[in-house]
Amino acid sequence: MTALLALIEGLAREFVRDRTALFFTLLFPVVFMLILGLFFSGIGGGAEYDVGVVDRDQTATSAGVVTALESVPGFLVTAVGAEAELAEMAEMAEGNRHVVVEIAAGFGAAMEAGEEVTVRVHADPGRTSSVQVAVPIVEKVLDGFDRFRTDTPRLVQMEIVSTRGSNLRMIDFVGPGIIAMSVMQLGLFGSINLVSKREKLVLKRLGATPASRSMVLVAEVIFRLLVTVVQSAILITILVLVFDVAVNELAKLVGVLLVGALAFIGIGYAASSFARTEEAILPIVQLISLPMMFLSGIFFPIENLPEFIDPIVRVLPLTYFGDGVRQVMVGGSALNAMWLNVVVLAGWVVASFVVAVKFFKWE
Amino acid sequence: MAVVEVQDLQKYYGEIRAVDGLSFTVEPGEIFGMLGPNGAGKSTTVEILEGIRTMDGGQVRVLGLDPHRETGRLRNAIGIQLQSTSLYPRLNVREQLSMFGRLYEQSRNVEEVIDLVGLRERVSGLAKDLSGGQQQRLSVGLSLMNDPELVFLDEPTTGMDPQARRHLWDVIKGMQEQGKTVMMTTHYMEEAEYLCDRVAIVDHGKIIALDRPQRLVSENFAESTITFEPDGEPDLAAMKALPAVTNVILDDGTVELFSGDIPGTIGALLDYSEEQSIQIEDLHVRRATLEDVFLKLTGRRIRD
Repeated sequence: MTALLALIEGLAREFVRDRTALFFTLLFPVVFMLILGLFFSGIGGGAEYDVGVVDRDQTATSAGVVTALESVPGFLVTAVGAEAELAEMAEMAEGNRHVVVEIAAGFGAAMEAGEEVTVRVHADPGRTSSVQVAVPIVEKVLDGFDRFRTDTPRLVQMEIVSTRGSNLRMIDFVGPGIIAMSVMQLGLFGSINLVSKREKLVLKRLGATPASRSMVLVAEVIFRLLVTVVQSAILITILVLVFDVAVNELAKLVGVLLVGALAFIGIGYAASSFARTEEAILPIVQLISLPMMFLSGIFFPIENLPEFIDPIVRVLPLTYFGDGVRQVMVGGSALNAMWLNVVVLAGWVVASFVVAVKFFKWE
Repeated sequence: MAVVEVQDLQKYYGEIRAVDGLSFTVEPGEIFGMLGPNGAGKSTTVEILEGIRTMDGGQVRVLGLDPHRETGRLRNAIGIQLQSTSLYPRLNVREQLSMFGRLYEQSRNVEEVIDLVGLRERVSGLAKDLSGGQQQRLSVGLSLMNDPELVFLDEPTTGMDPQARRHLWDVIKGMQEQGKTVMMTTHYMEEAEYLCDRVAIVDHGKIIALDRPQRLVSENFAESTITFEPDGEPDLAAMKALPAVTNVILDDGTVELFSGDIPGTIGALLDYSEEQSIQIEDLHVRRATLEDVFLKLTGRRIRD
């Protein structure tokens, strides 16, 4: 155990002192994501929230709710009557509303009578700003309105309805794609470092200590997984905080990222068995990663690709990884069932490690 | 009991017999050297003893262990310095030593080893920023981290300037004073002469001589050598005819006369040059060396 930790610590120190590696593994994906994200999402200006109100009640009381919502700074309120309800829900579905508040007929009368009444709030679980900002504000407004109206215990109940914007924004699509891409590159490009250490006979030297060869490789894999976790955490944080992308299922996301990282680390190490020098491994790795970036649907839906490419797309691990990451992060537009994504990636893990172990050379 | 026992060791790379029936023993507390040109099979032999390579024939015991089957136990008991420095480029001297120390069951104090190999001033220097000599010393330091009773050094002073080489020789002598056994390879004659208690001269995978350095020289040469540079083409036959001369070699314009009677040969040589009006420059007399032994036994110079 001491030996394993010593090996991992050595790798970490080396990594932190390698400016080029740091740039390409940690900084480059961040810059890439910021540029693409700004390009696609056009953020800027202060935070604004599109709030739709479907007022079926049309009484002075319900109008008061609308006025109260309009007075919230940053809320752009569109209030419509029952006749425009479908149009408003369509806006929600297209991702043009953060929330839609539905005031049922009889709202005003119920309040006058001091009876409990329910207000439905449609929120988009795919957008943090919807669930975590707009909904709580609406709740506060209703709450305050409630107290202002009567002294009796709370009358207005809020019912939250999940209405996912079916049209994902571009950043919802591309963001998880960039995470998948960077995990892939981290895994594949890790093999360059390994080949370099084999070429400089550092691996041979380690193999001449009591540390077993498998321990040396396990240390490598653990370290690569650690870097993946750090890098993904940075990218996810940016997506959530800057681009308002939601993370629906964090635990599953971590799981998918680890399986995917293992698959690409394995593929990288398998590739390293077929290259003697650092100069030779680089084009091999690029040859593997470049087609995947364009054919795996991480930057645009693969439906846009010509049909004859489909069989290729169906083999590439990044197709399944990108789809898996997207599903557990923002949901929607699933390409495959989640279990299929995980099974295919696990298959790649097993296959690549078998090849790597069989053909790996120590010098 | 011998520390290293090798019986009829063989190793083939395809058609090439890299190691072709070596037999020798290394005794406790000695510095044992393998001397020979590049490609003679020195590194291959050492790497088989270290358990890095497999062998194709013969028997090998190191500290009573089978290097191939009992690799783990062996590795904890021996120190290894590979021919290449093989360092982590971005770890500094102290980190490198401490990391390697932690790979062993028992390890020496890092600071002690830093002083031992003389890297105190460069202790925070990254390996890639060290000079070639400093890298070699660090690499030797790594081999000492588990306080081994037997240390293998594979061409430890290659690429060092004379001063750095001297310093490392002191370090190696120091290991012996601490009771360690050292087995080393080298292609530097003077290194083998200065350091080694016994030297095996290896060529084409075979041991062609094995003894104390002085005995190797005195057994092969009763005579000393006169070297000089004549102007013009020397008449080697005439020189061989000079009194007490046993052999003549012309090497890159320098004539080497092997003679059992130095004053007699020099007197005759000077008379001869006066008669023939030959200018003689850079006249030296030297005792025969291991280089001459190698030349005599193989017909080649060691670095050809």
